[in-house]
Amino acid sequence: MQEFIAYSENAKNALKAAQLVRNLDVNTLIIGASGVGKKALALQMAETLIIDAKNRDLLSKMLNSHQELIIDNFDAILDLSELELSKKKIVALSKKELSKEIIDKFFAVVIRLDELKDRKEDIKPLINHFIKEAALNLGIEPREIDEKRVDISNNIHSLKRSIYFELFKKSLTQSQIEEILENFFSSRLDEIDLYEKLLPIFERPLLKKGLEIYKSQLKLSEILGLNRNTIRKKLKECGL
Amino acid sequence: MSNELLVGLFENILNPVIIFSDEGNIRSLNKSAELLAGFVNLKNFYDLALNYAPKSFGFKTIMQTIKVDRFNFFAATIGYLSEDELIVMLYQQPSDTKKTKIDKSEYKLSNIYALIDLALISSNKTKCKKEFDLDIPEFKLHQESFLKLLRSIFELLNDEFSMSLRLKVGEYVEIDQKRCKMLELKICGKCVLDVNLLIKQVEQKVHLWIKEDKGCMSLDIPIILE
Repeated sequence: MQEFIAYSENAKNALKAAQLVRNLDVNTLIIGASGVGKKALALQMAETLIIDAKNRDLLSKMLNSHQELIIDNFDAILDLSELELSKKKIVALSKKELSKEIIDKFFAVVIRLDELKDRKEDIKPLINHFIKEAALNLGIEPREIDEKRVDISNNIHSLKRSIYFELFKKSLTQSQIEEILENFFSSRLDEIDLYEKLLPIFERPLLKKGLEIYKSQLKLSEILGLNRNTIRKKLKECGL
Repeated sequence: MSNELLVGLFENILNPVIIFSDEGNIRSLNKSAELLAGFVNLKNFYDLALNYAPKSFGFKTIMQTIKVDRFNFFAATIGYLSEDELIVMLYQQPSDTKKTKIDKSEYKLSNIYALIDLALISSNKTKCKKEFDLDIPEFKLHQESFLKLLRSIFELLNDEFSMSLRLKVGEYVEIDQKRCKMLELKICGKCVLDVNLLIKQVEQKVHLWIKEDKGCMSLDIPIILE
């Protein structure tokens, strides 16, 4: 069963509700923005198929043949008046709040999942969870990631993406970086004055990181083996 | 008419029958009166009887509306059986059959604590004060209707409210000819909207009774075990 991580009060209440609903034959509505964990929570309630409501024909067919279903994108259904959900166990997922009339008609239980920015206690455990997952999937060593480098703008979707990216980034060898650059350059080799245009790709990150570590242009010039005036000029060209 | 027939009639008649002594003590009561005793002090009917009793032996029937808890009576027959025995028989309005007959196929064995928690989470009101009897067994409820009702009630309330859940000792209701104990769920708090409309809507759908009194709502729930 997919894990649902719950450390914040909102997530703990949601998980508690999901565990209680498991033993009941009632319909549940889970409301929350994209990436808050609606599917993971729904699977705690019912280990069954997830159907996208946008495929109306498939939804009708599955409702006729199944007692238990998870319906994703429930808010996309336009003609709710024709829907028949009684005497079934349905978990409906919606990105938007629905009208009181619809909620009262179809659902005995309603769970609202907050966005990650309002569930701060869940962020670190989620990061740790996806670090382990990414390390396993990518075949690399798990490493600590600075929470500030993790993007939660699209909740778990962006959090997961930024963790995979951070871990992947840390595991790259020089030859792999060169390979990535080769790939990047291959689409641009028909441009003119390309060397001047592409040089910042190398210089900018080098100078930025160097300044961050050494905090002094003089020290940086020593490390890089460049004249101090050259360093100053390049920093200005790179906007640093 | 034989004595056995009369006794059988007395015991099983739907109308509560109470026999008082001349001092107002209860000498005898039939099954219906026993049920009524769970809701009201029967000695209150002694005063009624004294007010309307005939001046000598015999019986008198008065047409009077008497409302007690969920019982409605429209008349009473009062009479002296002997020097020191006063009999009162109350005539009950036909009860709402929805309340005494239910479709049990839709009722499932339920843990009421779990249902209350679910309704609190559904209405985003998880911070209320609770005072619950902890030994209420699982019993049959229409889970969907009950959850929707509770959620509707909780949504009407401000964030700070309190709840108590207790067994009503000595109180019973008859459902499908079976005696069921009663549970009281009392919810006290400031209502944002009109409760009476909700009560009217709900009483038609859910097998329980709702009373509103001084900022508290009481739900009397029958504990249906079979």
